[in-house]
Amino acid sequence: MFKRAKFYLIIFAIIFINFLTLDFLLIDVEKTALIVAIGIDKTESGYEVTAQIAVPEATNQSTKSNESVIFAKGKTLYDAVDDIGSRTGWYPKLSFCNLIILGNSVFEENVMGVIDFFVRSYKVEDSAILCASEKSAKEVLLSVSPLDNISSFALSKIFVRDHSNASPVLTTTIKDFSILYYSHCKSGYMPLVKMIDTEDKGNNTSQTSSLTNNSGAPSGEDKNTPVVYDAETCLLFSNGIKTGEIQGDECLFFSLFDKNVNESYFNLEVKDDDGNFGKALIALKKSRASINLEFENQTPVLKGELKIWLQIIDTDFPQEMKEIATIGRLNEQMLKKAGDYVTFTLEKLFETTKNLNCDLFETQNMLYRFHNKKFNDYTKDLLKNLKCNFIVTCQNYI
Amino acid sequence: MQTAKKISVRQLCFIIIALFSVSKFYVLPARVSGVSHEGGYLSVAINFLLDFLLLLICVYAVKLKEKPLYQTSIETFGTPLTKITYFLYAIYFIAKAFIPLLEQKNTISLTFYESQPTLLIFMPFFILAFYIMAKGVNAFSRSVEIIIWVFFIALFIILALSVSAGRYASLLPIVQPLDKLLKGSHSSLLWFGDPLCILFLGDYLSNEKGLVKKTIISYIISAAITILLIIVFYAIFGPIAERQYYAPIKMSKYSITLSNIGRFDYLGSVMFSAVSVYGICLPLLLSCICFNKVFNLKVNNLIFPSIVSIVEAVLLFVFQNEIFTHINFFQTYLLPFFMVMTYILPSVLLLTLLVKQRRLNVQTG
Amino acid sequence: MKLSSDLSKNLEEISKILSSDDFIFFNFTVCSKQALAIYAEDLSDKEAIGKQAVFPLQNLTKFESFKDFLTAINVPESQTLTTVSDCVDKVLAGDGVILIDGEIKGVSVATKKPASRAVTEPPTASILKGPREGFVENAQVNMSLVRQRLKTPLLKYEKLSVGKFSKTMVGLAYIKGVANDKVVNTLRDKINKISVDGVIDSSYIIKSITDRKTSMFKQVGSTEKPDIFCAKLLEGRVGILVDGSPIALTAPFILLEDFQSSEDYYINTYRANFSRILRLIAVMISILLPAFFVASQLFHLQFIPLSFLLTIVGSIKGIPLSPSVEMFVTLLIFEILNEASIRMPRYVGIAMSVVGALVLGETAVNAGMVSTPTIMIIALSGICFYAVPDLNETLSVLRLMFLTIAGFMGGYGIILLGCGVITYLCAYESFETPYLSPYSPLSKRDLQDGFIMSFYSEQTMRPSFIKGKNKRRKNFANG
Repeated sequence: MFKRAKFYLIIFAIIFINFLTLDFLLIDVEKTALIVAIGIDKTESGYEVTAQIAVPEATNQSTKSNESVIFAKGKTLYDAVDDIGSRTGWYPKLSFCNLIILGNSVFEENVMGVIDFFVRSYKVEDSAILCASEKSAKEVLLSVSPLDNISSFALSKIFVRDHSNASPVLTTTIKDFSILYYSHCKSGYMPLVKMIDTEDKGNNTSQTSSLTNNSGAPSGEDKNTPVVYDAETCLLFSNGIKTGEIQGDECLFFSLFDKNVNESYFNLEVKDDDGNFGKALIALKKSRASINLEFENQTPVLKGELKIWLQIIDTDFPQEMKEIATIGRLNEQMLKKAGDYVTFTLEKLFETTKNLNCDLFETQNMLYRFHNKKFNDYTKDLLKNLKCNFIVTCQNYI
Repeated sequence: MQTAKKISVRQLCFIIIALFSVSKFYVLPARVSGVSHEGGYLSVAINFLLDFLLLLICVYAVKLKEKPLYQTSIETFGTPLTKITYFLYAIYFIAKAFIPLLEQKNTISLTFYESQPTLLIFMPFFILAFYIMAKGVNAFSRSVEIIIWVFFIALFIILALSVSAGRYASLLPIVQPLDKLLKGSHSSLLWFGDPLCILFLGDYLSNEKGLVKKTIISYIISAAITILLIIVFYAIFGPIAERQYYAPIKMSKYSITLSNIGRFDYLGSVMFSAVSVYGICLPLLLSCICFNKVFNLKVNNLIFPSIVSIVEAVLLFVFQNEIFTHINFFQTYLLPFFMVMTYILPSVLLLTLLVKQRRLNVQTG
Repeated sequence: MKLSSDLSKNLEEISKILSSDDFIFFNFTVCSKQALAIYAEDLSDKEAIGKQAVFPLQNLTKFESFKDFLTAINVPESQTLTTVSDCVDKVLAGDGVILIDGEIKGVSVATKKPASRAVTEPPTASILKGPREGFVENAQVNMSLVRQRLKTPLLKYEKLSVGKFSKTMVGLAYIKGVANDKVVNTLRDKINKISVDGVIDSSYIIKSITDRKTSMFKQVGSTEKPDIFCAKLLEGRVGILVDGSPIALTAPFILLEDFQSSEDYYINTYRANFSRILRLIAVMISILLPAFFVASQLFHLQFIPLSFLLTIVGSIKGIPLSPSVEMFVTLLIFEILNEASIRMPRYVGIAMSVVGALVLGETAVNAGMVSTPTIMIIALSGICFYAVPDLNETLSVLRLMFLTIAGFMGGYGIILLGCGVITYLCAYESFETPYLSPYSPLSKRDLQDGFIMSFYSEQTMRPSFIKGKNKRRKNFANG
């Protein structure tokens, strides 16, 4: 028994020595750069990666977190990410990276050349949100937002997906974009981030102090101007190449086919019972949608059925108390007008995507899945021959 | 130490449900999706049907034989042939444990650890494997009675977090070309053949009623769980499923709840890894049993648990990288050996037992 | 050596052995014959010896044979002694021994007067509801507490003597027909085979009767409360009472017993179930939380939510120790505080807690020696630790093991060690009873008193893993 105790003791001693010395390629958490967002720009020599890292302020808990933006370059994206470590001495930890921003220079070629790095890598979660930038990705990450002192956190707020709300911001992730790209439709979409200067310059002083520019920040830029982000424009891709863009209500009504919503808004020119004419903000309180590919006389037709429940929220003309008291009911004319507007927008969207050769509605996937026998015959010219038929039914919510 | 104690039918059922399915959760879904795409689950279902036949063969062989398998085999085929066969089975089980071992090693090192950990980290596994083998079938099957709850909790976590993230239209069309499905089945055969374990565990089974019924139900549950997981897996990843190895870790991270609380889905993956440890140890345990029979050693010796652990550790050291190269090597060169050992020999045994019984019936009138 | 008919010779022999000042040799005459009363001054009741033996013998008018001697004493529990060693044993046990010149036999009179404290609530098993009596150091008193609760002739009590020098009385209590005879016989054999100098406490017996001497897991149940002891006897377990120890033992033992509290049966079943689940969770947290925290911090940062991770990174800035060593040192300090506060007088213990928790903890954080999350983790683990007090000894070792392996190889180490512990426990048996019963092997019937217990009225069967003859308890529903 004593021998056995000695044996246990030796085993424990070995493990304990290892425990104390810890030499298993361990990376200290303090030496880890917790990357929360990555911006990718293409340069002549390869890629430039802008990584935003979250570093807490240890000395004073009451202060906000600092942000740090670091830059790295490489011939390939992996090379550039690897460069982060060699430049800063920090080990880049990518599993917290929740936002990937592609700079405008990346769209010149097939974006999958960039995105497939994230599909390959086990270190980056493919649930990260993917977005495009009107300018370079570096500028977006270096921008200052009044919403959060880490620009990517502020930007992420507009991509928060709420299952019950439709938004003109069409959010996508690495996984979703890749799935569409590698599916039969070979298309995709990505929100385009625009930076809008805020008029209130009073915020500048408090925000700029937290910005740390480690190397190579673009010179001559007005980094002090706080910006807000807009992502209501959505880029369309076909075979990974940017083909065009859609925006506003097109995005909103397209998103209705993706989910049943409980709350969303759009503007409509209306005329009320008293003959008042003007704009009204219509709340889209509830929706039910289905979209199918059907064949009518050997012609492929994209058939979308949309049922929406509406309510007037606000008008830019005065209404009678009676009308306000009826909790925003739309009259028949308004309902018809709303239906026409939604149908028109969807048809316009359909034509746009068709002309851009972007299979946004995934008709190729529908053809493969629901009309598999016809797939080989129709797949080649499907978009060209495709017609659409959107049936929109509008109802008062109350 | 191994004891001569019996294992209950319930314990066998738990082994079937938890251990037969867990080994199919890691690389198999991605591999089969690469060949059969949206019909991957059908390819797997075909293999399950094949294994179902094996299950019936093994269960009926266990029911028909009156003496322990080794004795029966000696009486039927003679000592030299039996010893050779048992030796081959011992090797077969070592090889059978190697793929899940590689899978676990890769899952752990690629997804759990930030930097590639040293192989030393995996060495304690072999100490544990030795310990489990040394403790024997009884302790093993009792452990599975605890592990089954871990398995169900993990399954619940993974499925609850992933079911809603899938687009199930991706699984269409349901009718797939047969050749595509068969190719998918062929590519995933290495992960099947688990019911063979029942043949060897049969000697330890207590005489309880309902062996056939209970094992069939357990097998259906096991198959249903695996197929369900593959269906959800493909619904989530669609055309990029081929790249998504180590499915449990990949599948559940898209739940919206995780963005608020953090990655507690890892808990499910950690639990699956624990179940998987026993999944790897089952063939190793059977390998020890076979070696003990070949060399006429008592069940409680520690020689073969040590040897089997060391062999498996050396194999991992030598072939630690390029899991897919090894899987392809196994698939290309060792599949015939696998097929013979898994399907042909048990069938021969059952046929011989049936013929023997018929003769006995004729003799006794 | 046999007693001689010559009293002086016997006196010489016995006084040679009992050559200590606290042994009294009292000479008196019985019908003109010399007689001798021997007793231990501190152990025996002098008055009882005088009244029950010496006085009746002195008043004896006729003494013709040994029978007259016995008739005169007429005290229950008196025994006839034939050897010198018997006489010595009886005196050492607190009895009085009477020898008469010319007789080759002596008589012992039960006049024990052991020092015993009052029956009070045991400090190790405080409850809100339920009986508050606790066992004391006197086995007789303890058995009387058991008898008060189980008034059945089937309750058997076998007295065995253990210890070369201590000759401690070890009592084996069981309900005949309910207990497993095999376990009774095994225990009796094992206790009889114990060869030690002395049995100071019942824990000495545990170490001698268990099969796995090196195991850190309990193999025999222990309780200070007669109600728990009786409940276990009613389930078919065998109890052991040891003279000089307030802790009674029960066998066979299963791990689940540590999660069961006597109060569970006295309070609302829903609350009892909740408490049991809480205890299980507390045990898991206590063992695994420090290990998971260290493993996550060292190897798997992605396990920690970003906001919490940023807090951790902020708080560990400038701390000279690695996360694993930091946790280890904090745990060590906690264990030292724990050890010190248990041994300290109660009023000093309170001061110690204040020093430990407030002064040491606060200053250690301020001085940058340890981080706040580490203190929080250890504190949480420490609190959870006491949710199942009976498992303390095992849990502290397990926690250290898990922490060490987590610091060494991260989460995978925790998985492997967890599997190892599960296999170990599954292979483990206490008196042929699987240690993880009723979960492994699974016994549906015994789940009635598992982590989720059914209503007491539905617990109609005794645990099957006890393997007693009488399987059915009284069916409440049928009266």
